[in-house]
Amino acid sequence: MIEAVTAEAVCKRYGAVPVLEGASLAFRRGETLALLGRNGAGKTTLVKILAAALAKDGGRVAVLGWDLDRAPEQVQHLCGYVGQDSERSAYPRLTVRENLRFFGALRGLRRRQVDARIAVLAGELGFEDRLDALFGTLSGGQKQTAIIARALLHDPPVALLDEPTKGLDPVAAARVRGFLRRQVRSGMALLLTSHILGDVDALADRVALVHGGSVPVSGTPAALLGAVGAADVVEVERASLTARARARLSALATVVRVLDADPEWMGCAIRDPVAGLASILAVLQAEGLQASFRQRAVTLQDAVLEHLSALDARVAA
Amino acid sequence: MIGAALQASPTSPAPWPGLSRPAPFRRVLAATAAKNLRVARRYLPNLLGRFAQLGFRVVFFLLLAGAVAVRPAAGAAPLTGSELFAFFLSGLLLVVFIRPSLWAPMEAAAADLQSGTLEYLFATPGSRYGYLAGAVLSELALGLVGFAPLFAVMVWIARPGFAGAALMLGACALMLVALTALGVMVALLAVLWRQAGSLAEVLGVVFEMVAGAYLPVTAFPAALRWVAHALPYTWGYDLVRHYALGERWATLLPPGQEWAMIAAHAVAYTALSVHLLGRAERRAKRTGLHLL
Repeated sequence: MIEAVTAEAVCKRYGAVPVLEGASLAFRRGETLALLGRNGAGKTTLVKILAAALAKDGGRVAVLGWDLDRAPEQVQHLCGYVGQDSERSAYPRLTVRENLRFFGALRGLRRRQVDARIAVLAGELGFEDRLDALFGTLSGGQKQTAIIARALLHDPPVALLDEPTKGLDPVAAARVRGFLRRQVRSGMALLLTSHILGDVDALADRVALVHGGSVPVSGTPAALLGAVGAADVVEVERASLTARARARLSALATVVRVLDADPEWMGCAIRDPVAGLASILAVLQAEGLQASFRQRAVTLQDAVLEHLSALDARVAA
Repeated sequence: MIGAALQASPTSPAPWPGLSRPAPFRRVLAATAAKNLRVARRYLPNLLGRFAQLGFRVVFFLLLAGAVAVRPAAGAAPLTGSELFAFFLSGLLLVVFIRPSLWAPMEAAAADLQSGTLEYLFATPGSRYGYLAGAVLSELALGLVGFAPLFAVMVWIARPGFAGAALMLGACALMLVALTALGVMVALLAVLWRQAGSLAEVLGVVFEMVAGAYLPVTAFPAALRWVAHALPYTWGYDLVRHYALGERWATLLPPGQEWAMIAAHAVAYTALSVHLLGRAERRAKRTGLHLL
């Protein structure tokens, strides 16, 4: 089976600064891959390269079997693209409908086709009432919805969306997620980047982490969660803890690992929710501390942060 | 191994091809020009200011024609009054198109680069030349609004006859082809350097002043005359004056050769702009449009 998108050892430098150094990934039709990583990790650069909006320095990319270097136009036909911060990338003195008609013409769509697609997308994404408003008069979230519609105007089999729900209110974001989910179920291949892990939780079949210019980790969200090796996290307020108490909590046999990302709460990942909590409370009692604590399930965010910390440690070593 | 999937053509056709189709030059050209004209209509004060500026120029040259005399060539009788006004109008007929068609596409490209629209365009298969030429075309269309009354006045004053008027129009039309290609090239300056407004300004001044819009090229020093001969506008102004003033105007070269010069410039500029467009896009994509 042909992968929808394959990238192999992609490299890119901006001047002397290397951004991607051998990034590889692949995803299929009917699958959503979420690209995660820290700011500046190279996610946006990788998405731009896949969308043929940026030239790579090395490596190979194919979309539905078309080689990006040898058939860039075919790749552009097949991909829908939303760039980061692209909510300004339409004409403010044209209406939403006029903008979409113009961008449809750039993709060779006939007026009737464009109008039919506009009607479908406006209904699905909920902006029928704003079709005849000037783009410049829309709110940031409304603009972003129209930009997502622009990317999907030509009903592409591959969608490359860089932070698609950024700036959307919860209702609009849920609507976009629902539509994208239905598209993927129909066979579209979706790559998205997002710092909103709710989007990733709701949409992603697989997650890939961009770190150090490559994609060292990828897997299903469940696999990433499983790698933390814990079911729950007990978070204890750091301000109430002494150094000795912190050391004792870290050394507990029931604490699989300590999550250090939050500056206010010390996270203790525990495999057994009952026994783990009991052992933590016992330490607090033995130390004579009155500390606030809370218990919750391990989240994808915990898993991502753990993986990134482990990758940092590997690079440092 | 994913290497096996990397082909010049896919090993099996995509069962969901999408609706995107090749968007050829003429379709993108028409869509872009229509889009720009729609936007221009919504910036009405800009449009009015532009025509007011042209009106002031015409009045200025009308007054000037009553106050000075211009010798078309050494030893020739000076042009005065309505003849001199026809001489100035010949320049204005083309000047109407110069500034907007050099400035506007560059400003459009710079704004599209800034907003991210250009990056989106470069991620579509649509004709890039059609997009940039469409920006020029809309400006030329707006220029026609000023051109038409000027041309009518010119025909009324100079009485060149039907053939003369038709040839005058033909010379202007051929100049517009060269101007479109120039407009595309100037817009590329914005793609490469973002802020290139002053360069377009210099070009505008050169095309107006050095090419002889308001003074005969024969009055220039020898070095400047050589520069003028390298510009298509010099031959455009000269031909229009030839058909407007008849025997009162001696052309720099025989008219047939001047037509050939304009045509050669138009072909050369068009070929160069197509070539540069490809290079500019490759360079922009290598650098990263967001970093330009």
